[in-house]
Amino acid sequence: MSDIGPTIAPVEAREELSDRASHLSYVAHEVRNPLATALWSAELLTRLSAADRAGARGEKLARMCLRAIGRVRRLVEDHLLAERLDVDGIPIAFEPVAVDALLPREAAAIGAADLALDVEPGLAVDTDATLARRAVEALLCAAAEGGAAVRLTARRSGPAVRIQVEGAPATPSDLADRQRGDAKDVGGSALGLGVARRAAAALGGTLSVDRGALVLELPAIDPAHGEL
Amino acid sequence: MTAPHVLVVEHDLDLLDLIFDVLDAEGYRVSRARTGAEALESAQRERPDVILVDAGAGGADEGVRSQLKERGLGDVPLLVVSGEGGPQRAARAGAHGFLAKPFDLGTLIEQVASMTAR
Repeated sequence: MSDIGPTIAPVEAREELSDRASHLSYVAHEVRNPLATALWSAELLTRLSAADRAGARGEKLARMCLRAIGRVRRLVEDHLLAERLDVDGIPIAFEPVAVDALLPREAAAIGAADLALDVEPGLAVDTDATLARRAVEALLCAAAEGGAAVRLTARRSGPAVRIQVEGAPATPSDLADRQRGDAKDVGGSALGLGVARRAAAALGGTLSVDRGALVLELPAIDPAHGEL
Repeated sequence: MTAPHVLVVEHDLDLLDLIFDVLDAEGYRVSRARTGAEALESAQRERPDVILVDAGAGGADEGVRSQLKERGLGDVPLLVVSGEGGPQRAARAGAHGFLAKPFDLGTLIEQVASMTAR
């Protein structure tokens, strides 16, 4: 006769579940705020007369609604990507990619006051371009918090390419999944560093903080050995 | 008769603007604050009839009741809105009402009206 009774999870497992519950609570809060904004601004738009809808008030509400939907989209996409990376649910296609191809050109794309790019010529990585681009973008958005000016430097460092992003100072705890009650983000990028951390690991690289700068290291590739 | 005064405490600027606009359109006098500290300062200065506080506004709901009491404002009703907490947490904070985001604007208007006895 088998003894089937209640099992007690080890302390570590229970702590992990508790952290996870707290993180999901944080995610829920982050998503519901812009969701509320989107719903309410849309509802208020429908209450306006046609003339008011075409005026300044209507334009303000429409912009607010679009901004909120953009935040929701980003949060949901980041959350789903993080979940899929946690269960190895993303097909990863490694290929030689020029570091230049991973970078945005406009400061506005990441909400920064200014974006300076300093990339060693000919630098290339062996990576999945889509995933690596998401990771780099997350670093840039985090560094641009509060509209800070951002500087990205990319250099060869032994077998890796070191991509360093300086802007709003980061701390190692910023790389952990945020928990219930953490300071709130209003730009929709609150889950980005969690995605970048997972992406770095999936791509055979690392994500760290060095003197306030975010550092992503990815396996380097000699351009002579790969077709870019 | 003076319109009831609502102090709205919300860290998200867009939400703060929207709630302000909705309550203002309903004829309330509305003040705004983005943090617990700003809220306490405003409450002491203006003595609102209701304080609507986001549970995520930098912990604005936690301890706000006791801090209001310390300032002689312990009888001001609190309406807690939250995207993560529940009514139990709001009750612990000494709130008289709770709304889970994203709630209907009509529900907000009804709740504020009932708390200001309009």
